[in-house]
Order: sequence, then structure tokens, then C-alpha cells
Amino acid sequence: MPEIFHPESGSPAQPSTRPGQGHFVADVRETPLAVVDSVNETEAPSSLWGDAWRDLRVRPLFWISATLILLVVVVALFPSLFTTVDPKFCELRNSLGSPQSGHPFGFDRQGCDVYSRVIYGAQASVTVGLLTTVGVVLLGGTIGALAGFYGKWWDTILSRVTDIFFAIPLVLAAIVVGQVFSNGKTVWNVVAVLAVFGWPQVARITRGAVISVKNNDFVTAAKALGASKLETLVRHVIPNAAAPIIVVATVSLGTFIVAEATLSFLGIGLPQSVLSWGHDIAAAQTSLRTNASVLFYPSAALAITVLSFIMMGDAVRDALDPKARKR
Amino acid sequence: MTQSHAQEPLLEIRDLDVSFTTANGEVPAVRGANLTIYPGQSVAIVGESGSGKSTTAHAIISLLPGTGRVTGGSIRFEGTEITTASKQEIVDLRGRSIGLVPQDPMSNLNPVWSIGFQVKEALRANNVDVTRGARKGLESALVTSETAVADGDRLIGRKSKSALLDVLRRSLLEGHDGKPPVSQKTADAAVRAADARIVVGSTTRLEAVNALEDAGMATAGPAVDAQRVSADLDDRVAGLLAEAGLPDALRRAKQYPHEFSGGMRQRALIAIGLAARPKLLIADEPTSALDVTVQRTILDHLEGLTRELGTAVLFITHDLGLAAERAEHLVVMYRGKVVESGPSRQILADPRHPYTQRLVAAAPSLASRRIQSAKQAGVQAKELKATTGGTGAAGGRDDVVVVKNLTKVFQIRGSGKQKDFKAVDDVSFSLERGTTMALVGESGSGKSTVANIMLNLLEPTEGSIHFDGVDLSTLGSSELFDFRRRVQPIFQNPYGSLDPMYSIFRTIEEPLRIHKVGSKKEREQRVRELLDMVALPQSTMRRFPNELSGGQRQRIAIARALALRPEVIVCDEAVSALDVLVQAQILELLNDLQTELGLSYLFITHDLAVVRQIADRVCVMKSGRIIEAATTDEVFDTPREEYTRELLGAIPGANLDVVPAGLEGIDPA
Repeated sequence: MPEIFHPESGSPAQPSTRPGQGHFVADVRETPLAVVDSVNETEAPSSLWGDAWRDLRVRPLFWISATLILLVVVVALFPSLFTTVDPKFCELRNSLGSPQSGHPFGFDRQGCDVYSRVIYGAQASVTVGLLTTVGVVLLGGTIGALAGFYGKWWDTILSRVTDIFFAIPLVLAAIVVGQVFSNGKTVWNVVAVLAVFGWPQVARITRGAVISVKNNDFVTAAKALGASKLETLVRHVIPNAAAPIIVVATVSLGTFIVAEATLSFLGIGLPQSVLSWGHDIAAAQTSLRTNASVLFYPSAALAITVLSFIMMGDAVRDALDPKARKR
Repeated sequence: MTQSHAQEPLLEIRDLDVSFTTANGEVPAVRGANLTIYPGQSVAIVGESGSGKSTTAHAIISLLPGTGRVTGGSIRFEGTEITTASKQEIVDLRGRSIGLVPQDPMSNLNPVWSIGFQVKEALRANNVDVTRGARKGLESALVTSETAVADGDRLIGRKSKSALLDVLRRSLLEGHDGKPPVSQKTADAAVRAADARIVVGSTTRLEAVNALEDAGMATAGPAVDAQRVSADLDDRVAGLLAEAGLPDALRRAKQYPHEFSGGMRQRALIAIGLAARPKLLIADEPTSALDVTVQRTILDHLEGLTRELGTAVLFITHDLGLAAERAEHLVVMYRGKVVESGPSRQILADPRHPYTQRLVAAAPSLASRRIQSAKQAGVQAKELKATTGGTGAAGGRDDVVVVKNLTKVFQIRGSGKQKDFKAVDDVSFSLERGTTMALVGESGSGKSTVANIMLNLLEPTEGSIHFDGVDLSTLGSSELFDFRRRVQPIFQNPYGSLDPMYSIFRTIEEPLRIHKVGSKKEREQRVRELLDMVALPQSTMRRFPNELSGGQRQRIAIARALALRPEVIVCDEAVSALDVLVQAQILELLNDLQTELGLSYLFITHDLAVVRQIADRVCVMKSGRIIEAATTDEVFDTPREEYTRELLGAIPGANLDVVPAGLEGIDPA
């Protein structure tokens, strides 16, 4: 080894060193050595959910959809705050009447106030949508989690059952089964029918998410610590698999509202006594050519509600899984 | 060095600044970096993750990810400025002038295309169309009636090769040009020799003439000239793969990435990187995902090939030993800045910057050499190693774990029939209390299966494990539950072994909660104690894994493993994923804890260099069997098995004759 060095930058240290390749040493003051692997104690702690929230709150999409959803929910809970007109008070002399003061959307064929009916119709849609989603997540989530986590014959049986239900079109099944409840239909019947045929998608998503999470080392670590299988599933696997389930649930909430409207439109959904956008759309189709606005308002209300849930699902997905974000 | 000193640099980076735009504004990734590469030279950028080494390399070919961009300085390639070049100029540069061998051989080949197709794509993208080149060359050869023809025409194709071998056989058997006929056997041998020497798509016509004449033909020139058809694109692809060291390349080119091992994929990527004969090859951690012996053969081959082609190589690596062994010039980067650069040997022997000094002190391969030299110099090796030296009480050895004739057979579902695969084959060893035993082997050697059986995560097919004299297979489920307390794992991947939803407090508390240890208050006290033990501030408790670095997460994993006061810890590649400095720190922590708590470690690793730093005893595994078991010193000084010697020789930097600065060692902390 040569004994003489010229540590100054660029100066040749050996005869064979070429220009620009001398022994260069940077000034220590320029890049002071940090303690190896020190913890930054000044930053506030943040969890995955905390990060997702920080990400969400700067997204306009999230705020728009959240505002709309909040509005729809408030309308559903307290319709009387928005209108004093009784939606069931109809006078035939007002049939298809144009908007006037106190009746901003005009009247339908029966002479009922359209604005009031749109406001009161929100309740049925939101109730059916929320309850069905809860049912679907419980049913599909449980089946999917069991199939994914326990695998083997659990998976074989539960996945085949899922496939069978998946093959049945939701609305078709609801029409067929809905006939059974032709007498004394309630909101609960509709929710039950939609939940029983709507769970396969959630089950599939849950199964996939659980399978990808259960292969992580932290699940093995929990096993090595002595945690039981069920404990591992509930405490480690499901919380980590929750993100995609939440996203699917939010998006499908919108589709369940549409399904309810479809069923009501066909006359096999909610009973006629319950105000629903589906019923109103069905009733308005005869007036399409004479007064399209009667059809427009309940349809618009339905579209905006569904859209806001789907937009919320999109925003939540982006926040929970930054990798899936569109560029 | 044969080149003259006045030669122009191939690549010259001056005061390069690269920044990434994030939500919090511009974040500099590289600050004022300087780098010079001369034609045919090998240079290495060394640094830990986040040091800016890959960013610098990607800036050269304008492949900065996401929001990254060059904010200052210049990159000149053959005198042309790259930072201001147009998109088209850069595209022209990539592949043809600068090749890239990416880091991860598993994800960098497209699984739906055959290997050959992907090499072909690299040729086509750079307009190196052999077919057209060949035709043009042939035309000009006919016009000028000279034997010297254009580049593409000079390579032997597979049709010509078989025709030439036929000619060779015939002329040998029949005798020609006054030479007497030879026996069938001699002719076969000669043809085989020629067959091996003529590589389709790589051997030139002139070389083919030589090969045939060496095999016994009197004059092969006319025969070769008679072959008008030269190598086509498929031949060239096979030739490139053969040059990259892939045997049986013509057949291999038709296979798909999943049929290749990691090493073979890396060879295919090298073939792609060198397809258009670039002047500079950037090798970004080219072998960090591979076993050491494979790593060595590939790097040896790459070195030979690039020297032959005169290609300059820029290595990007975290391994100082590898860098020093493979490159003549080193550039050490730290936190986005070049902190030291110069001739490799000089930097290794006399690191000037404190960071380089730390790095040299911590590099496992070099540390391993240091122990060796220290021993020769008569220094007690114990002072340099992180072992506790398990001499035990004279007389009775106190073995905490005794493994006898362990065998594990997995059933692999093949097409139709079930096949048995013996992952662990008749393995026996014992772990003495308070010592560290290393189980060393390459991927697929069965070492992790042994670890999982030890942790009772897998059932052995045959054999027994005695823990403190008790056969584990005789235990009932509640006794097994207690056994879990006494043996704890630390896994390789610090990013996967902690639940991202759990705060650090919950993570460390979990084992206590599962085993119902103490009240809530006592458990919190214990968590604080454990954090102190692994040298993390107690405030870490409220944080989540995603806020911590790999090394810090590994400390948390250690704290969790220690929570139940176990006797044995199974470390499955526990430091392999960490930067060297952090690795050294964790090894030291493990050692301190061993001394303090009397722990016994089963240390599973592929890295012999690390073994030297931590283990008292070593078992070398190969294809499910233990082929050598001895004390660490014995294995390193007098390895009995050829395979062990091979492993030792493959440690990067093992062959460096440099004894790095100061035998007393520099504190890596």
C-alpha cells in the first residue's frame, strides 16, 4: 500500500490515477454523521388510519361526496326540516301542475307535491342501502374470512357456495323471491332479499384480502407467540384486510339503493304505502312526454345519492391504498 | 491500466443535484455528486439505502422514478450533455450506449414472453437487426470479394454450424488434403470439441475456421466461406445468452422466466443489458437477491465478458466488500452526497471520511477478514467477535436443544402424481445453552424448514427435538402453549413481521397478553423495560411500524421476542435485510442480550460473513443435509468440505489482500 496520500479533492494520489479520480474526501461538516438508525422523536405518531385521514382531508372528491352523503342522511332522518308539505296530500286538480310558490318541483299526475315526495323518498332508499350493506358485509365478510383463513375444505365448500350465489343475478333473484312476500311486504323483506343475494362480491373480496394478509410474517409471529387461530384471525388478519372490504361496501351501497329503486319500480319492492324514489319513477314514466320534470326529480335524487356513495368509495380506496391511485 | 492517461472520460458527472417533489416541497436526494468513468473501467457507488446511489444511476439514463428530476449540475456521456438532451436522444442512448442490469431478477422479466423474445426485443429496440445487417454484409462481401465482411455477417448461425460439423466429420473420416482417415471415435471427439467451441450467434467466422482447424481439418477456410447464410436474429439471441453464461442457450431461449432460477434470470438480464453492446453497463445491485456462490460465478462471468468487450461497468451496491473486489474506483455516498471517492484499495486501506471508516469497520466480509488477520497477529479473536464463547462448565455440556435425525418430507403436487420432496434429511445437532449456533446454507438448503420445526410451526416427518431434555412430540397442547414462551422467533423481513395496525406498545404487549402475564400496569412497565433493553426511546411505544426504519422494526421484533423471557431465540435471516451499519448494531445488540440474559441463539443465515461475527458453532447445510458441523474457527480456518470452501471463497471481498484500517476496529455505532 502506498504510504503517501493527497486527500484534497481531485489531486492525483497515485501516478496511475486519472483526472477526476483522485482520492477525494468530503468535508465532514457538509454531511455530519447522524447517529445510526435513530428514532425521530419530534414527529407526531401516525397510524395507517391516521395517514389515510390526512390523505382524505385534502381531496375535494372526498369533501364533495361527504357533504352530499351528509345531506342525504339528514334529509332521510328529518324530512320535516326541509318541507312542510305532506307528500301524501294529493289533489287531482293539481295533476301535472307546473312549479309554484311552496311547490318548487311542481306536481305529479296524482297532484302530489314532487318536491315533498323526493324529500320523503330519501328515507326508504337510505335505510335499504345502509341495512343491506351491513347485512352483506356481515354475511359475506364472515364467509369470505372463514374460507380464506382456514383454507382447505372450508375454502372449497364456501367458495363453491359463493360461486353459486354469484351466478344468480341480484335483481332477478329478488324479483323471484320477492313474489313470496307479495302480501305484507316491509322494508325488512327487501333488505333481507337483497342481502341474501348480494353478499358474494364481498365474500370474494374478503377471501382474497384475508389470503394475502395471512401469509405475512406477523401472522406467523402471532402463531409462534401462542395466539389461537381465531384470535389471530380476529386481531391481526381482519383489521389488515378491512380496507378493501370498506371500499367495496361503500360502492355497493349505491348499487343496493339502485336495486331497491328497480324493485319498487317493478312493483315488487317496498309496499306502495312507503314513499320511494322507485315508486315515483315508475309512476312518472307515463308522464314522460307530457311533463318530463316529474320523472327528472326523483331520478336526479337517486343518481346524486348513488354517485356520492360511489365517489366516496373511490376516495376511500385511494386513501387506503395509495398504490392503486390513478396517475 | 493500458489506456493512456490523456483519454477522455466516458461518463462525467459534475455537481449533480436531484430532487423529488413531495407534498412537503422539494426533497433533495442527491446533492453535488461528482463521478468520472473512463472507457472499459469498473466503478462502484457504495452506500446504504437512501444514500442516493440508485438515484444517481437512474439520473444517468433519465429513468428517475415519479417526481424526481435533475435540478442542477451536468452529466456528460462521451462529451454530450444528458441533462438537457431531448427525449429522442436519451432513448437512443439507452441500450445502445448505456445498458442497465436491474436489481430484481424476479420482477424485471415479463412472465408472458419467452426469454429469447425479450432478448430479441432488446436487439430490435436498438435497431441491431442481424438479419438485415447480414444481408447487407453479404452483398458487400460479394462485390468486393473479400473475406472481411460486415459485423453481423461474421457470426455463425445454427444451420451453418451443423453443416460445418458435418463437413468436419466427413473430411476426418474420409481423409482429406493428404491427411489419412481417422477412426470413428477420434472423429466423434473432434466434432464434440468443435461443437463446444463454436457458439451459435457468438462465434465469428474467423474463430470458426480456427476451431475447425484445431479439431483436425487441414484448411477450413473454404468450407466456412461456402456457408453463405449467417446468423439470424434467433441465433444472435442464443449467442448473447450463451455469452452471458447460460448453457444450452438455443433451447433456453424458448423457455419462460418461471422456468429459470434466479441466477439464470440474472444472466438473461445481463444478456439483455449487453445486447446492443453498450459502452457503459449500469449494474444496480445485480446480485443482491442471489446466493453467494451464484453471485460469484455471475460476477466473475460479467467481469470477463465486459473486459473482453471493453465495456465500462458502474456497480451500484451496498456491499463494500463486493465493490472493492469488483471495481477499481469507489464512490462512497451518504445522505445524498459523495463523501469519499478514490481507488478502491486506497479507500479500503485508509478510509478518511468518518462515514467510510464506519462502513469499513462494519462490513461483514471485511470484519470477517479482520478476525482472521487478528488471529494471525496473535490478538484474541474474542475481542473482535460478537460471540460469548460457550465453553460451558468443564465436563457436562448443557444442551438446551437437541435435534435428532430430523426429516421433513413435503408432498409436491406435480402433474397427476404426487411427488415427495425431502426438504430436511436426517439432520442432527445440539445447541448449547448460552451460545449461538449458525445454520448456514443457500436458498433451498432446508435451513428455514428446520427453523420452522424448531418453532413448532411445522411437524417433522421423522426425528425428534428435545428441549431441556423433554421430547416436544410428547407434549400436550397446554404444555406446547408453555413451550412457546421459551422459544421465540425473529424473522427476516422487518417490514412483514410487525402488524401495521398495531402500535408498538400493542405489538410488544401482545405476547404478555396472550400468556396472561401481569396486570395492565405491570405489562406497560415491562414494555418500557423491553424498549430500554433494545435501546429505543420509550416514546416509541405510541408509534406505528410504518414510522420506523428496518433496523428499528427489527429491534421491536427482538423486544417482542424477549417479552416472555425465552431461553432460545431462532433468528431466521434476522439481519439479512438491513444495511451494514444497522446490521452491525443489531448483531451487537443480540450479543449484549445474550451475555445479559444467557440466551441461546439458533442463527439461520446464508451469509457466512455474518456467521463469523456472531456464531460459536456452525452447521453447513446443503440439499437438506448437514454436511459440516464444527466451531466457527474450525470452519473458517480448516473447512473440511469442498462446498464449505466454495461458500467461504464466495464471500465478497474474501480474496482481497487488504487488511482494513486498524485491527482494534472502529466503533460502528
